[in-house]
Amino acid sequence: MNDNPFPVIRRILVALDASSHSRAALRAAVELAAALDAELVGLFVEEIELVHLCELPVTYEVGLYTHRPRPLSREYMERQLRALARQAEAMLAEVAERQGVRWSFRTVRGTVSAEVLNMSAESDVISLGVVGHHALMRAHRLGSTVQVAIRRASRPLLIARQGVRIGSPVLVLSCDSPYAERALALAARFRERVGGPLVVLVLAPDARKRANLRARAERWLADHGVPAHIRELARGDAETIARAVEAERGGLLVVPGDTNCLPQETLEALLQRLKCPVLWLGTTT
Amino acid sequence: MTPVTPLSPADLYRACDPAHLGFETTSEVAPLDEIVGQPRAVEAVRFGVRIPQDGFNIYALGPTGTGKFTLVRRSLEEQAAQKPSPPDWCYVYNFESPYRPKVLRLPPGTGAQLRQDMQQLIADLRSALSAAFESDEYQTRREVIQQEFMERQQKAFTELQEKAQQRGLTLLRTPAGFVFAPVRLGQVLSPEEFQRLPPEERERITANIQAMQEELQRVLHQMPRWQRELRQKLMELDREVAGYTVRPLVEELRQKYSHLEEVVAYLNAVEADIVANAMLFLQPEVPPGVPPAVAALQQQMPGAPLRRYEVNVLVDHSKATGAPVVYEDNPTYQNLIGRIEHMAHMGMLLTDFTLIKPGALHRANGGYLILDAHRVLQHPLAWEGLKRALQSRQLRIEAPLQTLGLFSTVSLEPEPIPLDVKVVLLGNRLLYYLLSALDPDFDELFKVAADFDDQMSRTLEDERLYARLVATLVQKESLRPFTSRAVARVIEHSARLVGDAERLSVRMNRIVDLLREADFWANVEGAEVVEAAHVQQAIDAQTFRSDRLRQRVQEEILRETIRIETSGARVGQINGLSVIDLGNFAFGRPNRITARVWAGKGQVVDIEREVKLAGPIYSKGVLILSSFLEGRYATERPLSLSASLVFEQSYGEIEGDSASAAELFALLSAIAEVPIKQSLAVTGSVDQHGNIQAIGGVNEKIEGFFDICKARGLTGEQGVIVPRANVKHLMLRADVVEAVANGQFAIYAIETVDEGIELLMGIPAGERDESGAYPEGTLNFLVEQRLAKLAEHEKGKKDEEENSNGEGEQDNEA
Repeated sequence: MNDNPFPVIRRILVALDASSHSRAALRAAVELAAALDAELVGLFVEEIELVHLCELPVTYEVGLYTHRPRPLSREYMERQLRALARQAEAMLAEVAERQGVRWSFRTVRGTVSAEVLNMSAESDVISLGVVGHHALMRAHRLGSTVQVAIRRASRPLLIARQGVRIGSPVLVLSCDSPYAERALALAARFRERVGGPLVVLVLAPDARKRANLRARAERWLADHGVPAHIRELARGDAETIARAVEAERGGLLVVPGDTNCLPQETLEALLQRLKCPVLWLGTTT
Repeated sequence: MTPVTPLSPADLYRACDPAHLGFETTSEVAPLDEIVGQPRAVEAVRFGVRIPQDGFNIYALGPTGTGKFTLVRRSLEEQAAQKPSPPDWCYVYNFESPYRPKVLRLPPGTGAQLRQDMQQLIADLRSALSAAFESDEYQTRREVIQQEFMERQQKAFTELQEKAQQRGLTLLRTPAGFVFAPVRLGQVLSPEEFQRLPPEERERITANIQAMQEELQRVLHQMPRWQRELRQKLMELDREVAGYTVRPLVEELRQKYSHLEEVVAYLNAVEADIVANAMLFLQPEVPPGVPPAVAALQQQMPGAPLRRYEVNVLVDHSKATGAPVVYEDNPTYQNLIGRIEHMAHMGMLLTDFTLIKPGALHRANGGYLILDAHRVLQHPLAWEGLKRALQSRQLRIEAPLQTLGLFSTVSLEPEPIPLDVKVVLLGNRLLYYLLSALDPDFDELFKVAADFDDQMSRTLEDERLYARLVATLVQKESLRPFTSRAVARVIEHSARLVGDAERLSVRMNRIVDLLREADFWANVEGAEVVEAAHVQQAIDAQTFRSDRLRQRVQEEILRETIRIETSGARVGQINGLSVIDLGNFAFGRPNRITARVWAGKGQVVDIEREVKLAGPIYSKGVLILSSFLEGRYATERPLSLSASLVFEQSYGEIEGDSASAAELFALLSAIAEVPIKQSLAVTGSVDQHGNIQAIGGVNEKIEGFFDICKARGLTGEQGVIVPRANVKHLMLRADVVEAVANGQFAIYAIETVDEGIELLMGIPAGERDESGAYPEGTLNFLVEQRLAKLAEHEKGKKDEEENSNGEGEQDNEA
């Protein structure tokens, strides 16, 4: 139990690359920012590797739609990246201003995962699309930036998938963790914005432990006057959790950042499997 | 020749005997259920209503107030009650050609039912389809299809990436495409590292990159096809799911309407369309970000996606018993033929099949339509539209400007509806004759003329029938009961209205007005029943309200601004009588007619004609009297006189020949220099043989002269001479009849000019004796004498002229 269960979230970092997944991440981040009265920081990374590439005499770009190879130049690539950044900024401005959320935008040059990690120290939540614009070429369904962020960022992550909006009902995973109440508090706060009941997924393989956890959650909910219903899960694998979320038609899943509760591999598998956005509260919250 | 005696009071007014009517008050009388006095029209309407063939539409012609509408409506309703209710007509969306809405013919009452069933179907489908498309089964299958596409795509790129790696390359994504770059130890070579490579190595890399680019191009070429396949598969899935959902719901309706082929075909089209457009049902009724009021409005606009499944019930006979009888009192083109309405939306005018509105012809289809002919002709295109519909036997709704070819915007072209209607036009006679003469289609389309009379005969039997009609009107209007005396007075007034003691008016609107007014006066007096006195009061009040002009004319005569003499005797001057008709009110006034003669060539100068104030019939009368003169007095030598005739103090146009007798008397007086009694007034036309013929407005004329005499004081000498043929028309005012009875005033009826001469000039006209001469002391003798004198004078003048001309000629010769 924690004396101050509510995690302080003032600034949300959202990585933008103008892809449809990142647009979903932006929308989710704006909703969260509006619910928590937080500020939004948009980050666009000009990939250094692409700039270097242009200086090789043998590289040609094959157009995605025109299919024709054309020679690359540094100016051409930089202009393209700037255009992309402008698009990302316009998208951020539009979505954030519609919800009345404060925002700022930054463009940096480097590699995406490194720059996101760099910025994460100044941010309370990092919002990412489940995959970046490399999606077409990836065999697996979780982007490299997300993977790096889970392993190394130690900040809460908000992961969203293209075409899926954050919404009601809000689900929260509750397990035997000191951070369980924080997750409950955040989920309850967000529920106030989107409405509907709060759904608590009580996860423990052992029946007695589950009953204890349930009682603990009920007590908290009663104390805070939050309407909710509880669903018990005996197995903590990604498939079981995903099915429970789908059965509830969940609009957001809040997961405590405790590896005892949900190991990293399970989290990654869950992110690949789930459609609804996931707010993972990170390892050091 | 026996002298002419005045008419007896009984000849002047034919009273109606209340005792003969057979009731005390009208409350005892059973209402009459037939049209009175219109046997011809009744027969025509009955025939026209029953005959089923084309073109036997009816034109009911006659003056207003003769009961055209009542008779027509009643006859039509009787006939309509025996006919079956016609079908309902609906317009529905045409899924093949949206601009041409289809028409459905349905048994009466089925239209509204189908509309309701379709509304229910759409409401059911909304929930059924959204449940189907949100179901796990659908979502999973969709996911599988998309996954398959993704995997295929990813596999292609993974293979490319692997091949690239085998050749020491990597595939990278740029904002607009893909690049192959050489790598060493997982890092892209920097330009410097690349430059340091041996030339053959660089060439190898270049060749590899080229080869890989070609392969990439092959993969990219395939992508649009894969995407097309994906879309196709998703569409098939949607259709399959929608089909399973829609079919059982539509099938229920198909079963219900299985006896109606057209409806089944329509339902099939609906099913196919819903399956193809199932996504329309999944859109939220209130889209996000749109206020609910605006969303509701948008759903009602043409073009809103689900409006196409509505049923526009144009004609609904669900509550009908028998065929419809429709009266359209504002027969504009659109009110007759129907119209396509538009809705304004964002500055555009939009329409669809639900905005097709029926016209009177739609509502009357299968039954009867009553229209006012004058109003139909007043509205632009209405007459043409009506004729076209009747000729083509179908109803085609077109915008009026489209009909004229002036409007070619894309609009709807609804399928025409077969028309089976009988039209009855109500109108006056003039319009009927004009249409018949000028419109070649008219006689083909309106073969039945129902000619309504404005008067009927007045036998004792007729009076009894008429009394029942009056009683019926009294009851229908909820008036106080009328006593039999009051009804008798109404009957007498009715005869006076048509100016004929032997006929009655069947323009019942004026009679009804009289009844209402008499009831009003009875009410003022607090009487329980309406008495004859109330009827008289109503008649007097009507007259008083209308007679400002009459009073004015009479005042001017009495003040001698207009000179009319009613005593003494004068040569070449006579009192003629004319009628001024003000529409609902007419009155007579005396006119002073004067004649002067002088030696001349046998010309009668008609001053009215010279100044073009005479109508052709008036001029004809003057010409006839001059030929009478020549026929009687100029058989052996030419008439050597010139004469002039004038209506003194007449400042308007004169028409009619009713003054020709008076003019003749004035002329004879002037020729013979015998004075005419000014206490008498004359009306009547004359023929070439000197017979006096009937004229119109005899009652008003007599009363007009009587009023002047009465105001100046009746002497017993005064009176009016009228044609004998007019005696049957006499329905004079009570005060005139009373004065005659008291010997204060006299009405004379004459048949010949000679009878008039004796009355007016106090000497006999005279007949030729065996020697061919008129006896001395007769007017004709005096006329001949004077004519002979004038002839001699004329001859002398002529000789003188000839002599002076002869001298002149001699002078010329000399």
